[in-house]
Formats: sequence, structure tokens, C-alpha cells
Amino acid sequence: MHFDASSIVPLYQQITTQFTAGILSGAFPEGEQVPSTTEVARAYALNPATVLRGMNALVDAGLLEKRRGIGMFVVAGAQAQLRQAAQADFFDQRVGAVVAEAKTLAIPKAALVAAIERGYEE
Amino acid sequence: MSELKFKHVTKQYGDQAVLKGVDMTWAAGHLYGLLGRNGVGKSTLMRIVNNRTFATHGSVLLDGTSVVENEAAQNRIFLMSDAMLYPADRTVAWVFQITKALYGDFDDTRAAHLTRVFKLDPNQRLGRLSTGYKTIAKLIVALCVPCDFVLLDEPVLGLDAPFREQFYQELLATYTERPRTFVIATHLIEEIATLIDHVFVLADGRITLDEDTESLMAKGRVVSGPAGLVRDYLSGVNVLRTRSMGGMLTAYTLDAPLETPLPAGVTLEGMDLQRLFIELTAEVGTDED
Amino acid sequence: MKTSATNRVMLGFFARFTGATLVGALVGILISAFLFPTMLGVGRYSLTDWLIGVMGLIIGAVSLSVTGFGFQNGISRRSMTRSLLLVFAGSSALCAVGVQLAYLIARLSGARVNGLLNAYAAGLHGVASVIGLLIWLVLLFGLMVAGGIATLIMNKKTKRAAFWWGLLTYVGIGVTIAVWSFVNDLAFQQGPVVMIRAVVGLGGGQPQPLLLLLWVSLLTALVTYAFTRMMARMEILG
Repeated sequence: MHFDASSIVPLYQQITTQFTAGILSGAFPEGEQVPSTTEVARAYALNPATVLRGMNALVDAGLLEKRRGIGMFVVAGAQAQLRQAAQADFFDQRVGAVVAEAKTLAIPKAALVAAIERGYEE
Repeated sequence: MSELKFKHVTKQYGDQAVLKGVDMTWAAGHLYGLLGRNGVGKSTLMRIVNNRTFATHGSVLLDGTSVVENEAAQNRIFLMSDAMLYPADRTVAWVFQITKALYGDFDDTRAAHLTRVFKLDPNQRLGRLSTGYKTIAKLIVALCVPCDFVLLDEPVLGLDAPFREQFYQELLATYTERPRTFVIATHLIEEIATLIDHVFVLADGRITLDEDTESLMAKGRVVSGPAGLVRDYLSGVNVLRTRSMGGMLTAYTLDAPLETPLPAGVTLEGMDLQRLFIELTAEVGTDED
Repeated sequence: MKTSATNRVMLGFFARFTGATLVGALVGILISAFLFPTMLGVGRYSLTDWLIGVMGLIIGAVSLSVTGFGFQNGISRRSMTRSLLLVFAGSSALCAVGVQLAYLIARLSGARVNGLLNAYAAGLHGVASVIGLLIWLVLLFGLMVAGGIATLIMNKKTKRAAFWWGLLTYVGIGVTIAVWSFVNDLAFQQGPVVMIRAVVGLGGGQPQPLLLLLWVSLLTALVTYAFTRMMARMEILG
């Protein structure tokens, strides 16, 4: 994980983003404990309250759960949930933008579809 | 909750005023950064709190009572400075013992862990330690005293980068285990920027900035682009400083109009705490027109 | 919590600090009671007393360095002053007993002991006595406090200023004694004695130990008062 102290994105949000990425990629497997607030704070010289805020956002989103006395765990189905959301985002934002740009560049639909098919074959 | 309050603290040396009315409050359980240019009076301020020197006017109150000549209050305050006030012929272990006797308690477990981590032999005499290791010895004491307010004046002076990183980690470790207030005065702002939760800037004898790190970071912006566009975008806005390079203008501000759409060609970036501090305490005026 | 336990720890620390110097002083006193009179022959003023006095000043001056430790550990100036004065009292009591012991031993061994005190309370010096003990106790206590004051003053000055002030004081005193001795046609070492006698009203060969005790007590009281005022305003750098 890496944190940028000069980014426009607030630190607590960077924490949320990076933990989300970790769950999505499977680095933090479902049902497993994630690094504690203290661990993350110590490892990256971050204020513990900031780390807690970032991780609480994930608890609120239903991706992490707090188990009293033990720590925070990845909720079962969190990865699927995130993938679904990421996929929806992909179609909404990315695909739409690609098609718009293809139209602007006068690329015919068949050429675009063919390129997509080639991509899946590789 | 405990509170240490500065009420219009003034310190004059003859006719020269170093502190000109400091008003500030330190609450319990925070990691504070006390920033300021060289010679601005950060050390003096901390020495006033620790009853090593007197304020000319004003008062410092711990839960409502003055800290001056107040042993009960001083029992809850600890200052680690560059001064080595322990006898040179005594060992590190002796310092731990005597500190425990004088403060009523001492985190022996953590002290043992820290001497191991920093490779400091507790049976070494203080006079025999290198400058860096003298600092480490004092740091360990500061992290293990049972005080509610621990003041660290340039705590990592003379420490190599790995030890500095180790120190911040150990500081956070003891802080999360037993929350108390640490006030760090340092010039190495980049290194503590992410671990402090609140910033105080001492300038011209007063506190000129008193804000949570988070809100400060949310406001700090670096606006860059063609001079004309940047100026238009930031017209009427309080700018800390500007820097021009040919036709390019870079402006540092805490009040960027974030709702206004950014003109094409103009970039908006975040500003880290060190950059903010530099721009905030720079001499008034810009370096162009 | 700074409690009586803390005070004991602090007192112990402060006492230990002056302890080394004190041991040296005691040994010095006992040795010089025999050695110097024998080595230098019997003069009107033995070096012993000057040595003891100087040792008192040094103990006082050196002891002030413990205040740094006190400040580091949140100890108030009030407590430090109290501890220092207690240590000075203990040290001067021990020293005074040592001096009387030295007189006793010297007398018993047949050595001729003559010294500073004799000029002010003839017949007292060289004789172990209660009033002699008291005079030495109060005198030494005052000297220790004076040594402490010297350190407090020097701390406020730069090293260079301290050196020149020290030199000036030393030379000033020497010149004053020399001039007085010359004017009054006395030997140099007699000068200070005559000077002080003239001011204080002692001498004339009559033993006046009580008057001496009074004078010494007055001076010590003044010096102690000055010391406590200065300690209350003490500030340290760093």
C-alpha cells in the first residue's frame, strides 16, 4: 500500500480505496482478518484516527465487519459485491467513453467489435 | 478530559519579545505538531510548560491550575529536549529507575522492547554514548513515562533515517496502547505530516495556525497554469504565495474556489504539510511583479 | 506523584552528588591538620582553614549542577532549594565535626595547631569546643551557600564574561589586601585579618567566640536569603 500526503484525495479516502482494491484483487480474502488500524498506522506512519475513519467507511459499505476483541474481517461475498460494482462502473463510464471516442474518430462499429474479439482471444 | 491551556503567554528577554501572546489549548489524547521557523520560540514555549523558564506575562494552566512551580502538574508533563540533564557517569538503566521513582511509574516492558529495537545497551554510561544514542536514550524515557502530556522538542535530531522511521512507529505503538498527548516540535515536517492530527504554527510570537491536519489538507491547493488563467481563477481569493516561471504561474492557497470549474490548461493539485508550512511562513509578498 | 518518597530519592541524589566532594574535604581536613603545620612550620595562619573554606565554596558551587536533573524530572525550585540547603547543613555539620576531631587529634599528638579562627577568638583555635563546632558549622554552611550563589550568577553570564568577572574579583581582592597591608605596615597575610577585625570589632587578643558566632550567623543568614531568592528565579536553557 502506498499513501500520498500531497494528494487531493484525503488520506482516509486513500485508505478506503486501497483496502477496497485489496479485497477486489483477493489480497484480503473473504472471511480473513485484515490488518488492524494499529498495524496500518504504524507501518505507514499514519494517524490511527485517520486509518480508523477509512476502514469504518468499508464497514458502513458492508465490506468489512468488526468482530469484538479480535479485529476486522472481510465479509463473505464482499469480493463479488465489489466486482459487480466495478463491472457496472466499467460499462457506465469506460465503455461509454470508448464508444463515444470511436464515433468521434469515425471508427465503424464492426472494426471496434472485431478489436474487442481479438482482445479476448489473446 | 485533561487540558493544557496557554493564556496570552509572553516571553521577553530584556526588550526583545520572543513570544508575544500565545493562546493555545492542548487536549488529551492528541498527536500535535508544533511548527515554526528557526528561533521562533518553540523550545522556549515548551520550557515554560515544563517549569524550566518563566513566562513574562500570561499563564499556562493544566486543568485550570498554573503549572509554574506546581509539582503535581509537572508530574503529568515531560519534556524531551536537546539538553542532557542526567549525570554522565550514570547508566541508561539507572535513568529508567530514577524516572520511575520520580514519576511514580514507568513502562518497563516497553523500555526493554525499545532498548532491544534500537540496540541500546541499558548498562552503558550516558557519558559514553554517541550523540545519536544519547538522543535514543532520552527518546525511550519519553515514550515510557506515565505522563499525560509528553513534549518532544526535535526528538529525532541526529538520528539516521532508519531510526527515525523506527521512532515514529514506536511512538504510534505506545500511543495506540495508551492514548495520551504528544506534542512534537520539529523541522522534519514531511516525516510527521501524516501522523499528527492537529497542527499549530508559531510565527512572529503568536499562533498563526491552529487546525486539524485533515481540514488543512482538504483546503491546501497548488494551482498551476498560464498566468492569466490562474489569476482569473483565483481573483478575490487569498493566496499564500505565487511563483512564476515565464508565462506559467503557480499559486499556493488555502481558499481555492473548488466549486468553480477549472479552466482548461490549469491544474489543481494537493499541497502537503511541509509545502503548506513553507508557503505560509514565507516573507510576505510574491517573488514576481 | 511527587511525594515524600520522591523527596527522599531526590535528597539521596543531591546528597550523593556532594558526597564525593565532602569525603575529599574530610580526608583533606584530617591530613592537613598534621601535614601542613609540620611541612610548613608553624605560622600565624595555617593553610588548613583556608583550604576548608575553599572546599566549602567548591561544594556549594558544584552542587548547583544537580538542578538540571531536578528540572528534567519536574521538581520545583522550592524543593530543590530545600534539598540543597539540607545537604549543605548536613555537609557542614560533618565537616565541622571533622575539624573539631582534627584539633583533638592534633592536640593529643602534641602538634601546634594555629589558624584563622585564632585571630578572631584567640585561644579557641586548636581547642575542640562546642562553640568552635557551631562557628565552623555556620561558617561552612554560609560558604557553601555562597558557592552556590557564585554558580547561579555565573550561569547567567557567558563563559567569557564569567572568566573575566572571576579574574577581576580575584585580582580585586588581592589588590585590596595588598594596599591595606602596605598602608598599615603589615605582612600581606596579616592584612585581611586586621581588615576584617577592624570592621567587625573583634580581636584585641580577647577570646570573643560568641561575637564571632553572631557575626558569622548574620552573614550566613543574609547569604542564605539571597540564595533562596535567586533559586526562586532560576531559569535554565535547554
